[in-house]
Order: sequence, then C-alpha cells, then structure tokens
Amino acid sequence: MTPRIAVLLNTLGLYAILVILIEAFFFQLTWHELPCPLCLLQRVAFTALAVGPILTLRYGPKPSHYGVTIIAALAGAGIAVRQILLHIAPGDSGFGSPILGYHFYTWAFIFFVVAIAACAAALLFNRQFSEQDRAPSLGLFEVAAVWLVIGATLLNAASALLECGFDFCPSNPVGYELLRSTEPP
Amino acid sequence: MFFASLFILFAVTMFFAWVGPPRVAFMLFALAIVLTGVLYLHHASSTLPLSF
Repeated sequence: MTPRIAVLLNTLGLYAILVILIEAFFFQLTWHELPCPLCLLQRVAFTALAVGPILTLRYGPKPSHYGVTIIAALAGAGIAVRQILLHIAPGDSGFGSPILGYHFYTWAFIFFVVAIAACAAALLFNRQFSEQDRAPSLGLFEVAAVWLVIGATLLNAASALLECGFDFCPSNPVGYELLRSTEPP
Repeated sequence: MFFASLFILFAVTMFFAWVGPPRVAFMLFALAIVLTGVLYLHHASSTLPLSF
C-alpha cells in the first residue's frame, strides 16, 4: 500500500465517521429519541476515531496515528459493550428503536471492532511508512472531510449542551434541559 | 456541559492534529481520552442486571 492509497483510505474513514455522526443526528431529530449518557459517550468515541486519520492526512501515514485510532476504538467498544450488557435482561427491549434489527449501541460496537481490524490490517503494509518526511498533497475531497468532521463534532457539542444543560446528563433524557428551563412555569 | 466540553476538546484536538504541532494533538488526545474514561465511570457505576 502506497502512502497515497493510505491517505485515500483514511479520508474514506473520515467520511464514514461523518456518516455515522449525521445518521445519529438524523434519528435524534426525526424519531425524537434523545441520546442517553452512554450513547453520547459512544458519539464522543466516534469523534475520537477521527483524530488518527486527520494526523495521517496532515503528516502522512505513521504507526502512531493508527495507534491513536485503535485506542479511540477500544474506548468506544468498551462503552458500547457496557450498554449492550445493560439490556441483557428479561423483558428488556433495549434503549431506543432498533435500526435494521440492531440498536445503535450494537452497531457502534460493530463499527468500533471494524475500525480496530482495519487499523491492524493497515499496519501490515510497511510501504506506506517509507516516505516519512513528505506531507501528502491534498485536494478538496480530503480537506473537506477534515472540516466536515470537526463541524459535526461542534454540532454534537451544541446538541449535548441543549440536552444536558449545565449539569450531568440524566440517565433517561426525555427533553432538552436548556430549552425546558426557558419555558414559562 | 461535561459532554459538550468533551466534544469541544476533541474538536480542538482535531484542529491541532490538522494545523500542528502533532505533539500537542497527541497530548490533547490523551487528556480527552482520560476525561472520557472519567465521565464513563460516572455514568456506568450501577450494577449490570445480567441475565443470560
């Protein structure tokens, strides 16, 4: 795998993260299902996944960049597993509506494991690390991916602030705390 | 507020990953991951009602 292909794959990874963050927002807004604290933590882990690919786009592929992604994916998978285990109980249908048969946290676990496997596979190809001192030449496709993911992360920050207000998030949120406090009694 | 702060911290980490220097991005990433762990422990302290 050449550095150019590694940069392309990392860019596609950024777009995949962007699609996941937008999809989560889509279900939050259209199905009116507010994310629980563990759901928000999984979104945080998805944004953490983007740091490694951005470093690769800026400085070229390096093993440490894949290491950053693996750490983020391990954190996300751990959080998702916790939520999966929470709902293995008689009569518990899970939190939120299922998407294609699985709940969001189950899909999140699958995506985090896929990210770990993809990084492990990418680390097998040493040729991408051969041109260490040359920053990759980037086009609009790559630059847009970086700024769109940063924008989606800031959008999540605004949404989390609206939902949780200035305190810890409730375990089972039913409304936007910050909007509720402005309503007349 | 804590989640919003965490999202902003990761956005800042991405920004430094993009504009450099990379060492700052790595340090911010480490800080953000630790804070994610702390927030996770706050929200995941209840016993799991496991029933296989």
